[in-house]
Order: sequence, then structure tokens, then C-alpha cells
Amino acid sequence: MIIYKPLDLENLSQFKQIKKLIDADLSEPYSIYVYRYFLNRWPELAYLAFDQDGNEPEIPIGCVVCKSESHRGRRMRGYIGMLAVESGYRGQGIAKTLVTKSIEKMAKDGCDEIMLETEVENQIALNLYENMGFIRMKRMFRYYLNEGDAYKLILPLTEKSCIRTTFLQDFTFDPNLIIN
Amino acid sequence: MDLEGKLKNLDLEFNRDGLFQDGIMEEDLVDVTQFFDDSASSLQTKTIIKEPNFNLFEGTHSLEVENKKLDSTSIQLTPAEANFECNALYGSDEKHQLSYVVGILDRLVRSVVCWLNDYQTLPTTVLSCRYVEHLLLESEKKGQLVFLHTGHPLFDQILCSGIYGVCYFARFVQRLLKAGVIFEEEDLNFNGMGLNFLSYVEDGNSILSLLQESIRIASLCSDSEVLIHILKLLIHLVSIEKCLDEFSTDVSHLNALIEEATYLSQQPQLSNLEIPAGSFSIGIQRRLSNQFPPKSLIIPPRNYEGFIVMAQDLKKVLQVDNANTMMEIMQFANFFNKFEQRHVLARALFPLFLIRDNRTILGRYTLSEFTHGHLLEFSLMCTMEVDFPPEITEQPLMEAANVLFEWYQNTSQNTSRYRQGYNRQLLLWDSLQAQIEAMEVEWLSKDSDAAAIDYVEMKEGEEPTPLLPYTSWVYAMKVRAMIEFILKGFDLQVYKPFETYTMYWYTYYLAHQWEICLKKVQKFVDSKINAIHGLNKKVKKSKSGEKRELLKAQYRFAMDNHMGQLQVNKRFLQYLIVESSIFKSLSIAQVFQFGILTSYGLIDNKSPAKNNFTTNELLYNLRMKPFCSIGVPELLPYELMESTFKEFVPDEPMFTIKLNKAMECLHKELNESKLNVEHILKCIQGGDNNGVLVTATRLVKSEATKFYEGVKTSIETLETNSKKIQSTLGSKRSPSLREKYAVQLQFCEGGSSFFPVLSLTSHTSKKSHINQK
Ligand SMILES: CC(C)(COP(=O)(O)OP(=O)(O)OC[C@H]1O[C@@H](n2cnc3c(N)ncnc32)[C@H](O)[C@@H]1OP(=O)(O)O)[C@@H](O)C(=O)NCCC(=O)NCCS
Repeated sequence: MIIYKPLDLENLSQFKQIKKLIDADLSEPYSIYVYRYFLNRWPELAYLAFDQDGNEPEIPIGCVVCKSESHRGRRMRGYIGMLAVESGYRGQGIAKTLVTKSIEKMAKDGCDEIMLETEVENQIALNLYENMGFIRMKRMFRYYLNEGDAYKLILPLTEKSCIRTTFLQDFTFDPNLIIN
Repeated sequence: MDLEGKLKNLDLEFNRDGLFQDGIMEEDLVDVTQFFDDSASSLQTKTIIKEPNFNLFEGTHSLEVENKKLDSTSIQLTPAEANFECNALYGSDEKHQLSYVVGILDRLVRSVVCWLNDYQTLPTTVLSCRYVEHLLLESEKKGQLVFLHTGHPLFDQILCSGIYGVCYFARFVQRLLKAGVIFEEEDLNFNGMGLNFLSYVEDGNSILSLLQESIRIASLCSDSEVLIHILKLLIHLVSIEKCLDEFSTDVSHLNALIEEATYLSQQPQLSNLEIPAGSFSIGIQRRLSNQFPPKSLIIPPRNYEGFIVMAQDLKKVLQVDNANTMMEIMQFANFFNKFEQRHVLARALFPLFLIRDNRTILGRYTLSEFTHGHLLEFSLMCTMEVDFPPEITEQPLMEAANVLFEWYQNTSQNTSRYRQGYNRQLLLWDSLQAQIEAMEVEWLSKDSDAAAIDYVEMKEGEEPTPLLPYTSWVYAMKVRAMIEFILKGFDLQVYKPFETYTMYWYTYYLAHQWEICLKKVQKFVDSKINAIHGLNKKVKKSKSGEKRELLKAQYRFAMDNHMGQLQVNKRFLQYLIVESSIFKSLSIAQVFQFGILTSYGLIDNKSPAKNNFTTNELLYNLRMKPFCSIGVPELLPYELMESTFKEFVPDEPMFTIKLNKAMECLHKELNESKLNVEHILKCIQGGDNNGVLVTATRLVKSEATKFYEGVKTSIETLETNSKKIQSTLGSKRSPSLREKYAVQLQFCEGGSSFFPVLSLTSHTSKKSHINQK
């Protein structure tokens, strides 16, 4: 059975495994700093999947890594930074569950929208997100180091997502402080 | 200096004098090793120690020690690469040496094409040549060009001059990039690895002389024909900067570049030539200051044709200089980069060539003349007699010039930026409109001069409306930008099939608003033309000689000075009206097709999302976000979209009748749009003296033709597609159809990417993932 847990920041083997999972598939190599940037600040927005019946029930076989911050001081934006499932475990709905959990958490925390970028060629990821309601907002030319175009996808959660930031009010408080 | 060298200098024993030269005594120094170790041992693994300005962006662009993907010092070089000696003479005899030099220059020149045409990085292409690195480093030290010391002119003179030719051209590219029109990384990579690209060389002449001298020397060698052609190609590359330095429209260098590239592309022996081992490598990424992860070497294919593309695209840009009217400049910008993305240098050059540092346009119009010209050729001609007060014509015109420049700059952006540019522009046009409209209306209501302005009855019996020439122009530009923004989204595959209805329904609405505005302006032009003809009638009727002469003079003046332009305006507006009508017809045809497919249960205007995170209303509003703040045309609410949608879906009772009616409407719209496109195409071919439409596409005839031919192909494909759908589905609906078929948005070959086709595809397997591309 697959179980899902938020990240345990003190557990170094989890950290290493996340890095391994992500590095294995993503075209863009990330430095340790990038992982730490997300995980240290938003450990509660990183979910891991474990195979309880597998050989290594302690080692995550899938993960999603997110952050949530105010966007120009006017809108709360959740961001899905990384997502990967070990190849042997794909196609069983694990990514869908991981993403769902993280979105639920970010929605609960008051995010107005969830954003992410994915390569135009990554049809699997596009299917995954678009079947969850994300729409493509723009295409970015040769966005990644491997030189493919990318899409920026957004899932609107509140009406604020649909108004240009120029026409939104400033937050009267810093929501980043409250959420973290 | 390389990293190892720097570390060596840090060695106390090695550089004692240097370290302590400020009078610091060695005994004053404190050994911090223990302190450092203690502090480090109390750190948690997760702790980040960083400089305050180091952020995520920096992080995603940083190197990481011992991470193979990110550590450029982990790059492994072969001994030949690591120890390559530039001052050695390679080749056992003269023939061999010549072959090496040709091989090196051939590869270097082809690397330029990989860099610029294929968007590769500088270090993996041009800078992978050890000679480039060596000569740039050594020359910088001396502040002047230095040469190799192999003892053979083939290397010391000819190879060096070729290398400098490439470097000087790279300097020009760097200049274009710094002008801020194109984007680093996105359009072009200029990771110069900290090298100085000949900033100490005053101009291209010294490089040109070097190359010419090399040609002279080369011509003394036997079998040097290809080498001479490569050197000539470099001369023409170096000369390209004249397009910018002197705004020269002399294309002889570009033609010669094409000639040389054509010749070289036909030399089969090139590209296979042996080069000295280690002369090209990724070593520079290891040796010099590098802020990017290691990237592998690019082995250039036979690609001399790349220079032909570059030269032809640059030549195209220079043609804008032949524009006679603002409309021609505008249409040039509109079409030159529309169907196919132009070469990056051409795209960078266009706005710089058009809008010059001395604040003139093409060196012949001031900013205000330029903007005013656009207005005159659109709406202002109708109210020429009225002197608008400076509060309308000055400050707002400057603002208008800025937005207009945005528009022009945007036309040469890469295809993705192009759409984003419109997104930003919408705000600018909108606030400009608000500003100008307020002034025009206020002036109309207050100023007595304003009474002289024309009011025209739009429909018989209706209250006459004023033209508001400034506002009308801004509004027309804005609505056109909104349409372009939406349609470009189809080209970039930003919309899923389920969104097709909404986006075309909205395009129809916008095209309709645009058409109303164009027709209004055209009505004013007509009334002006009629007024001039009326003068003539008055002349004939007038009895008093003096009055008659006065009227006659007025009539003559108007005929000589206004009539021609008014006729041109009228026909240009007519062209735009035909275009708006094409957009309307095609959009509504897509809407009908969508409605028909919906009636069979094969598609819906709702997101396929099966969770409750969002709603269709939010998705609609997010889609329309760029328009949310725009006053006019007002944002159509979600409810309206939903309620009109139902009207386009044939249903029971009398499904078959409704279906046939929808099909009929669809075909009618397609037929109409086809006639309209053919009309435009004919007028483009015939030129602007055709007496019907002015398309102002003289300078972009083939590009404009290609664009409208594409639209025509799309219309034909929409037609066949719709028939195919009907014959596949018949007139009976059944729930099983959904299991059999899905709907995709497909581009048709040669068709316009603004109008992809909603086509039926059969599910190949039970669980297909490509049902919505
Ligand atoms: C993308 C990835 C995380 C999906 O993981 P997964 O656990 O296999 O995905 P799921 O089983 O939860 O599938 C979720 C949805 O993704 C899509 N999907 C999954 N596998 C697919 C495939 N082979 N082809 C097409 N779509 C597929 C489907 O829409 C699926 O939903 P559905 O089953 O309801 O149709 C996984 O393929 C992966 O790790 N890829 C490499 C890393 C990566 O690309 N990350 C995303 C970067 S933004």
C-alpha cells in the first residue's frame, strides 16, 4: 500500500531521496540550495509517497515540493516546484494524490492560485495538471536549459487569481508571516 | 586567470610579499582554523549560509561543487585538449598545415550558425575553439590584437585574422543584445566567459584589413580557394554592422555573404576536414570564469545555409526603409515576422533600425510626425480643418508615441514574447484611451472651435456622433491588439479544445467591436469626400463671381491636398473592415462547429477537471484576466458566455433541423470568409492602385500573401473537416460516440495557426491520454 506523509525535515535520507527522484528526470539540474530553499521554508508543502509493502518502506518513491508566497504583495500564490514518481511506480495515481494533497494544503492556507511551469513536451505532466483544472496561461520561448519551450499553468482558487495584480489591493499584513 | 592559478597565488609561501605588502605583520594574524571547525561542527545539515542577495533565481543558476551536472571543474579533458598549445605549428607539411587552418576556420564559422540560428550557447560553439580563447585573452592583456607565433603565416596571419573576424562579429552581436530588444538566454546566449570581445579595437576597418591581407597571402598558396571564400565570408560578416552604424541600406555585403555561403555549402570536402586534436573542446568552461552548468560540445553540421537565412532576413528588415507611408511601415512590422520567426539578428535589428538613437524614425520622421502620420492615415484626415488644441495633440501624442513604439518593438519579438507583449500593451492602450478620450470629450463640450468638428449620423435619424479621431485610433489599435492576443494563443497551443468555444466566441465579439469602429471612421471619411464633391456642386450653382472663385479655390485645394489621402484612407479602412469580417466569420464558424460537436456529447465548454479546486467561472475569468480592467469593449460576463453557448448547441426537439441549420450557417460563414480572403489576396497581388482596397503590403507582399493564403487553406480545411465530421457522426446522437471519438485541435499543413481545426480522432485504446492535445 502507498502511504503519503509530509516531509520530515530532520530526516536526511528523505532529503537525499527527494533529490535523487527529481534529479533523475528533470532536465534542469538543481543545486542543493534550490532543494533547501523549498524544503527548509515550506516543509509542510512537501509530500512524500512511501510503499509500505516494498523493500524499503522508509524510502520515498514519489514526492511533490511546493512553496506559497505573496505575489507582488497582492495575491497568495502557491507554486509547485518539483514533482516526481519513481519509474516503477508510475501510472497508479501516485502523482495525482501527491499534487492533490499539496493543493489542498495550499488552498487551506489561503492561496488564491496555484502556479507551475512545465515543458511543452511533457505531455504526461500536462495531462496530469490539466485534468486537475490548470490552464495554460502563457508559453515561454526556450525556457529550460535543454532549450524546449515551456508553459506556465495556473489553477485559480479564488477570484483574486483572475484580476491583474495592478488592480488588486495591497495586503494590509504580510501573509508570508502568517502562513509560515 | 584560471581557478588553479588563483588558488596558487593564495599560498602564503608562494606570495608572501603580496599578502603582507600593506604592512600587516604576520604575527598580527590570528589562526581561525579552530574557530572555523567549531562553528562548522555545530551547523545543522539543513542550514544555509548565504549572501543576503542570493535568492532562488541565483540558486537555479548557480554551480555546485562535486555535483557532476553543475560543477564545471569536474569537466574531464583529454590530454590533447588540456595541453593544447596554440603557438605550435600543426601539420607536417604546407598542404597539411593549410588543411588544418581551413578545417579550424570552417568549423568555427559553422559554429557561429549553431550559436545564432540554433540557439546554442557561446561556450559550446564559438568559444569552444581554443584559438579564440587564447587570442582574446592574450589580446586583452596587451589591449591590442596579438598574433600567434608558430612561425608560419598560415597560422600567424591567416588563422588569426579569421578568428578576429568571428570575434568582431560576435562583438556586434553583443551590441545588438545589449540594446535590450532581444532577450539573453531566450533569444540568444552570450555567455562570454568573462572574455573581452575586442572592446579595444576601434572599428571594423582594422579587422577588414587583416582579412584582406590574409586573402592576399592565401592567394599565393596553391589550393587555397576554399580558404579565400571563408575569409571573404568573414569580411561580409564583419561588414554587417554598417546596417546599424550607418543605417546603411546597401545590401551588397549581404548579397556577397549569401554568395559565399552558397559556394561554401557546395564544397563537400568541408565539414570533414581534420583539425588539430584538442583545438575544439569544452575546456573553456573549466578554465574560465563560468556561471553556468557544464554543457556538452556542439559539433556543427554542414550548415552554411544558416548564413543565407541570416542575410536574407537582414535584407528584409532593411527594406522597411523603402516605406512611403505610415501604413506601409505598419504593415511591414505587422507581417515581416508573422508567419515565420525571423533570424534573431534581424529581429534585434528591426526596432533599432526603425526607431533610431537620435529619436527619429528611419532617420526621416520625428516622433510626433510619426505618430501624427499614423493618425492622419487613419482618422485624423477627416477633421483636418480643425486645429486641435495642444492639450490634446502634444502630451497625449507623446504618450501615444510610446505605446506605438511598444507595438512596433513587439512585432519583432520571438513568437511567445509576442503574445505577452500584447498582454502588456493592452493596459497601455487602455489607459491612453482613457486619457485622450477624456480630453477630446471635454474639449468638444467646452470649446467653441470644437463646434467646427464634424458630426455624422451613423444611422439615418440617429443623433449625429462626433468622430473623436484620437480616441478612435487608440481604440481601434487596442481592440486589434486584443484580437491578436487571443488568436496568437491558438498558435502557441495555449488553449485546450474545451476552451475553443470561449475564445472564438470572444474573438467574434471583439472583431465585431473593431468593425463598428472602422465603419464609423470610414463613414466620416465618406462624409468628408462627399463634402468635397459638394463643394464642386456649390461652385457650379454659385452665381456671384467672387464667391464662385473662392469656392473653386477651396475645392481645388481640397482636391489637391485631401482627396487623394481620403481615398487611400477609405480603402485602407475597407481592407481592415474586410479583415474584421474574416475574423468574425471564421470565429463564428468555429463556434458553430463546437456547438455541433457538443450536441453529440463529444466536447463541452467545461474543464475536464474532476475535482472541486476551481470552477468553470473562475477558469473563464482567469482566461479573460488580460481584459478584466478594460472599460470598452466591456468584459463579457461568464453567465453571458454560458447562456449564448446553449444557443449554439442543436438539441431536441427537432434536433436534425437545428443541426442542419447550424451546418448551413457554418458553411455560409466559411464561404463568405473565403471570398473575403480571396479579395484581399487579389488586392495584395494587384498593388494599392487597384482602386478597391489599400493593403499597404507592397514591401511585404510575399509575407502577407503567405499569411492570407494560410487563412484560405484553413477555411478550406475547416470546410472539409466539418463535412467529414458530419459524415462520420450522421444525424443520430448516441452516448457511445464519446467512447469512440475525441476532439483535438489540429493545425493543418500550410494553414493559419490562428485557426486550427476541431477534428475528430478515434480513441485507439480504452484509456487514451491524448484525447485533448
Ligand atoms: C509526471 C509524473 C510525476 C506522473 O506520475 P504518476 O504517478 O505516474 O502519475 P499518475 O499515475 O498520478 O497519473 C496522473 C495523471 O497523469 C497523466 N498521466 C500519467 N501517466 C501518463 C502517461 N503515460 N501518458 C499520458 N498521461 C499520463 C494522466 O492524466 C493521469 O491521470 P488519469 O490516470 O486520471 O488519466 C511521473 O511521470 C514522473 O515522475 N515524471 C518525471 C518527472 C516529471 O516530469 N515531473 C513533472 C515536472 S512538472
